[in-house]
Amino acid sequence: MSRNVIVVMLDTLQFNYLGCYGNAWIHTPHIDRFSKQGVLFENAYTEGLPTIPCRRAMFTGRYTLPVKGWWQLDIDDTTIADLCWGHPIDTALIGDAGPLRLPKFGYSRGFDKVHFIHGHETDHQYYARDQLAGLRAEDYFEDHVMQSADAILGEQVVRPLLNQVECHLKERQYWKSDDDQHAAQVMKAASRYLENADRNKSFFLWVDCFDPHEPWDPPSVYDRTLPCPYDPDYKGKDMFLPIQGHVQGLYTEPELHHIRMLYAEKVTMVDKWFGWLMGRIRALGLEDDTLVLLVSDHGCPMGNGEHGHGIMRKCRPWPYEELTHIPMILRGPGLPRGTRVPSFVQSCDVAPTVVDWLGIGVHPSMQGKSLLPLANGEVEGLRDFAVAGYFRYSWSIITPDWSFIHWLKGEEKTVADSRFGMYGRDLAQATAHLLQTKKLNAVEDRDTAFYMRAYEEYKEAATLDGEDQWTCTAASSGEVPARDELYHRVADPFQLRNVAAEKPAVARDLFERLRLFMAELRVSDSGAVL
Amino acid sequence: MPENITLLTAETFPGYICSGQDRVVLVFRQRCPNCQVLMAVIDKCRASWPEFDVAGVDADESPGLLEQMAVSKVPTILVYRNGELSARRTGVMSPPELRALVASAGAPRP
Repeated sequence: MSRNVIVVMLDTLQFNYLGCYGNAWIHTPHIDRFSKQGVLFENAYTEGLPTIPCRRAMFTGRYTLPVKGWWQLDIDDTTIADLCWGHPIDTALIGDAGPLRLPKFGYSRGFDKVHFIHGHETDHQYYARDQLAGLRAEDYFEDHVMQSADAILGEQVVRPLLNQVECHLKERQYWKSDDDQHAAQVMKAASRYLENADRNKSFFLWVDCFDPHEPWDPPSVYDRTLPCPYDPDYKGKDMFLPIQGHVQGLYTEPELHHIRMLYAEKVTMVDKWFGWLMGRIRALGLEDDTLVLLVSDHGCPMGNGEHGHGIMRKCRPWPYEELTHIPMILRGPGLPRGTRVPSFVQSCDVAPTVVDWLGIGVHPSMQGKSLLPLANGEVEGLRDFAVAGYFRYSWSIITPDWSFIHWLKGEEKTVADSRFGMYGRDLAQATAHLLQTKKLNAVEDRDTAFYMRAYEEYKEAATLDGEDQWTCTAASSGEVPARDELYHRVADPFQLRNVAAEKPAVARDLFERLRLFMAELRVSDSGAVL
Repeated sequence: MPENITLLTAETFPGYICSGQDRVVLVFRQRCPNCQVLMAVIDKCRASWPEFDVAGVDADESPGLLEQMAVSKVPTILVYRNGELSARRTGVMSPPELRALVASAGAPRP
């Protein structure tokens, strides 16, 4: 019998917005049912953040955090699709994640079939030249936000965001029902692939659904007859693509609440289409030989306190719980049903799990572990702790009792500098050709500004040699830096009360474990694991 | 400190770097995790090249020597050819990176 794998990667799906992860008020019946049919990993954490390094870890089975950030797939990387070559396995990548299609990034390498759906965030310029009728970007930002954002954030943010929203509206004006939303388009394309798959062979299908990533424009936003089910009495504007930045002074609490409710509604919409795809898998008779893995790359900061530590969207390299804790659920014939596993698992476990199920061998370069023995109860755990963070910015270590964050730099300067460091700096090598062939009628927005600045800094890019995280100063005592943070994970899971000063021995122990683990990963080359 | 790394002092260092064509020196601290990992990398390189010889300088024991070598961060690897510094690099490195560093100084590849 053929053995198949479907990975459903739902971008920005925050674990605690799902019923099966404890949420009592957001409707996610299909994912909840899926969890009862399979194995739910309660302590799944992403690793390197955000979108691109997360995918890199999932595709390669290797930690990215100590070595690369927003960076193209390297020739030294060995991916799941690379490993399927030469076997009777058809491989397909179906999705709408713009970052995965970034010029020269090469993340579709090795897939036999690639189907990309245009228009989602970061690919919004695809619709820039369409004529917009009857909709206005200004209707989706409160006046006080448009008037004050540039001053509050210290950079020009309003005009580029209005352009981005306008591009989204230019696409959305063609939608007739929620059948046309991106999640629906992706799931229907995945279904078409399954309908045509050669059942005499195996297949590996990666469904990369960018929803519920922002913009958070669920049915109540584009259909004015529908109230938001989680905030039906709200009278303000639907700020479905909120400006990134610190929320203090920029948004009111009711506005922040409503933004989160739009996200929650988007999650419910994505759940519906995930359920639709599961129905198609069942109708096509694929359940008996197909492993299905539901996973996300990260959550999202969306406000104050546990909602986002004071920021909106991923504009600071802050690896807190709401961003790093991810859902991961595995369902397959012969695997336990309705089981919950507390062991730490990470995004780098995806690739080993897939190739293990396909029976083509876990590649020696993979640092993650197959989840199958854990799911089957053959082992109790895979690791004592998880790590997560942003390349060159932040490392965190998560243990059953504690979480500890080590900052690699001093205070970041502005949000603009943070975002450039997280997303833009490493783009230069892959996007230099775009500057040489200026896009016709291109509208300047934040992404194009990234390319320009990255190009300027290209020649001055630092190497990793000698950077502080890989060295100790000769005179240092190895003390925990004052900026680092320690949280009691049981009493304070969302990391709101830093107890580093009260528990110096715990902080020091975690600091040393984290640094040792990162250094070991750093020297582990792709050909031979130390 | 691994058993198979000779510990150098301010007195023995000058003679050591002149004692052969290529001499590799690791500057380290006992409590530095990056140094521990680099020592493991050195051991791994030795498994495929037993003649790969590395001497060590304990940063806490020889502050004057560090100043003389202009080393402010550890771990630092320095490669001397005929007594003259020919390559150096600070921070952890993988086995291929260490091999490349030593090779860049003209020494045989470990």
